[in-house]
Amino acid sequence: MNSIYILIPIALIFTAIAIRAFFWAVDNNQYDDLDAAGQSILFDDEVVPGTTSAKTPEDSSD
Amino acid sequence: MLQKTVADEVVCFHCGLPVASGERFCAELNGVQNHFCCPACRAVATTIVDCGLSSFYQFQTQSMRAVNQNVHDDTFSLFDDLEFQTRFVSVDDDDSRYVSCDLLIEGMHCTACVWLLEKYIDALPGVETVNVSFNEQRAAIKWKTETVCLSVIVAAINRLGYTAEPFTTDLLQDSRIRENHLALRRLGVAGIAMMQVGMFAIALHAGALQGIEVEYRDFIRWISLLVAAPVVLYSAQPFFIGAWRGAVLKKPGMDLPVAIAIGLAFSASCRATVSGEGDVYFDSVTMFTFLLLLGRYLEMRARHYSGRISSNLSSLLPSTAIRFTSLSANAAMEQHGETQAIPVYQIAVGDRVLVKSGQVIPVDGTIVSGESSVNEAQLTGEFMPKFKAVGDVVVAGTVNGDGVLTIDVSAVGKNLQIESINTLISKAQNRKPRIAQIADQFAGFFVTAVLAFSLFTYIFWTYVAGGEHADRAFWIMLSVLVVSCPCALSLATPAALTAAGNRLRTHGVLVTEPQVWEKIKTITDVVFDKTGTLTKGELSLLATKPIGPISSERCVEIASALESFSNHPIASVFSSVKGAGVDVKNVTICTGEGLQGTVNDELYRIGRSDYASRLYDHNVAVSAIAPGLGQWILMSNSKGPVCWFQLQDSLRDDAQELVSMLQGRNYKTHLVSGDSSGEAQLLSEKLEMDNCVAGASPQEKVDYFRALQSEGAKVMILGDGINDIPVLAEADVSIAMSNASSLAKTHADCILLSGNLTSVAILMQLAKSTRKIIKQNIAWAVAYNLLVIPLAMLGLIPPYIAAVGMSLSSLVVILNALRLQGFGNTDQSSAMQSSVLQGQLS
Repeated sequence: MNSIYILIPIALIFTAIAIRAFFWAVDNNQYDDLDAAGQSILFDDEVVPGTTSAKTPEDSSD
Repeated sequence: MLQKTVADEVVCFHCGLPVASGERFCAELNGVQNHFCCPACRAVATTIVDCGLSSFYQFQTQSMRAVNQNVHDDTFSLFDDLEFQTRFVSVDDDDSRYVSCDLLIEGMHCTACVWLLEKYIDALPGVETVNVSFNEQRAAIKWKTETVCLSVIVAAINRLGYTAEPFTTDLLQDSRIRENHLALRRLGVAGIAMMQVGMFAIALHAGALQGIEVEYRDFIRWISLLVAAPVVLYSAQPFFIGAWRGAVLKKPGMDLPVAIAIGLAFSASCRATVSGEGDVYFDSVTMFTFLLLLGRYLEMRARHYSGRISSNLSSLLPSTAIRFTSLSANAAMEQHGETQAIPVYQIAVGDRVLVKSGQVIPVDGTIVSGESSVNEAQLTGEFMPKFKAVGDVVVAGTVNGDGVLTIDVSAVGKNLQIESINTLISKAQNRKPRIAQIADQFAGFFVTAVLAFSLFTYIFWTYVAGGEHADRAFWIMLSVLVVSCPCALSLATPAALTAAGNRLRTHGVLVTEPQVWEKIKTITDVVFDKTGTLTKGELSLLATKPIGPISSERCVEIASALESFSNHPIASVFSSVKGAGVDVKNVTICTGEGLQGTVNDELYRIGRSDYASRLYDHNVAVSAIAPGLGQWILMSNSKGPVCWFQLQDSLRDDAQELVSMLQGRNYKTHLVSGDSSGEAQLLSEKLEMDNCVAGASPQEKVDYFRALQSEGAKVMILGDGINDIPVLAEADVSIAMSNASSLAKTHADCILLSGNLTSVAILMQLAKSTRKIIKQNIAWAVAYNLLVIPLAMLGLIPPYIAAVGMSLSSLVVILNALRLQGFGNTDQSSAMQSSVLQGQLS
């Protein structure tokens, strides 16, 4: 049972780290927009500009 | 709303609007030929696809709005002006090469827009980070000043079809963000600590059953104390502050027993820990705090969500304007004079500004040259643009139509008309009476009673019972406080309201004022606004009266072909008809009058009767007389008048259904409209409404309500547009339609996002079941307390059972409230649900 004198303080350190991490997340606005973040995983991450081309019949100013 | 696709109708690939004239604007995107309604939409779509972002079109849940025609504009360079930038751009503290700013993005409609904006702006060279928030319609951008300038970024945003303006944080928004962060921190600390203390409590309970050495027990208790302390001292602060405020004002609220119970249980547990005698309740303390904070956090989020749209009318105004650098005496030359884009705050009275077509007018003023149709929908709620010419007054916040205007500034800043409307709004809000909630009154009584009971219990067990019972007195008193914790009572109302609010949100109804639930019961009269509420705010063709030999079908075809060249709302009336075999040439548009063009070698005019009749008869005095009341336009050729068209704002599909339903339930229905054309009366008769007031100014509308209210009526209003806001604030319950301008949304008690009028029926039904659930909850809470408080006073309930009972009691209340969100509905409401569903699908 003596091990609890070591294990519980270690658990408390992890708790403190968890709270610190949570505070960091709150301060960095991680919780400000819960709608967009939830859907963003549905979108592709990798975007390679210029892989597709578009042609306009009337003008091609680009 | 789903786009109706008629078999041969082509819709714009970008904005989903019907393409009027076939193949005028098309582009090949990803190997497929797509059609667009205008060059601006095509430019935006081409930009999006060129950057490999075409999956935007797969993910978007709604079609884009039509793109502002001024995609390319020279005012962007102003964003690089250092003095202009000082107002919203900040230099990075660590590295001065980086600067950041917040931009207000207009035109975002779903989270796919967030993705599109982030990807596109992030790909610009020099942009360090970009963070777009859909909730706040805001983009936080950080960039390197050497590589890229702000005007490039703003121009890029415009290329995607959005508009960017400096984001000015008002105090309200700032305080909301701070409140949200603080609540989250408190909740997080309570949650994490609750889990830790809960685990230690299991060890302690198991130890109590199996036997645990005092040394280990005390160690675990001390650790529990250490973990629970931040919960009580930090997370539970709002309860202590609330309790203190209540005590000072001598109005003890729900916070007082919560604070006393938390405080007493914690200090008693601390005492037990120090002395090694008695029980500890750290788990109850933390769990209780966490659950209450969670309820409050959810409530706060719902409150902020509804108020996220800007709370100030001034945000309608642009931040830049184009000023003439020198006042030229020659008025005809104005539009070719030297101009310069400057920030709006530098404009002074007497300046002369240029407003291009499609721009928002930045100041109040008088037109000195040019003519145009000006859309004042933002101010008046009336969608029909008004024709304005030299000498007419224009108001800041309204949108210039197809002409170019030169304006002499008559008012800026605080003197703008829009500001006086703001003042009117805040006055109306202050006049709103605060109805004291019955629950609060009862809570005060209840709290006092509980405190008295616990004190009585303590005295009884210490002095009357005496002896060995005296040791138990403190713990029995705590039992009374814990078991009677008005948790269930204080959760009864907010839990039901939150659940009902969530349920309504799935129907596209937002409730911003919690008192609606109670007030809706007392409603006796329902007042409707006309334009945009009962009607769609879109014109449609009511009647066609040909005068000559040409058939009415042919007339509509010719009109359609002519009008396809116009952007005026009237043109949309004809857009559903294809002008087959009609060849139109030489089209000229006369703003505010109509347009003319050559159809099959014959010159036609369509528009106002005096304009069209001038084509065949130059004597304007005998202009054609419209064949009836209402809004008529005339089509003519050189031989004479050809055809009359009667236009009408079309009725919403479910307007009749709602009005009959309300009358079936013995509500009085009224129609109050600012429209004086006689259409209001016609509509009122058609819907068989009880009363009708047409041509009413906002003040007259307010007076009408006051008259109704002084007769004892409780009034619910369905409205739209900013001139309704003082009126909305005056009503007992106000409901705004989804297409109401953003401000009307913020100030109404309810917002119909779906645009379905039948949602009102759902709201009323749900309000009824919500009241029922609240009553059940309160009944349960009261019955529970009446049962357990005497038991606890008798010393029959040990504190840990009391804590379990308290938690179970609040759980019952929450689960009962959740029935509102889920399936436990009556047949009536599910029938209404299905009718609304059908309405959405059709």
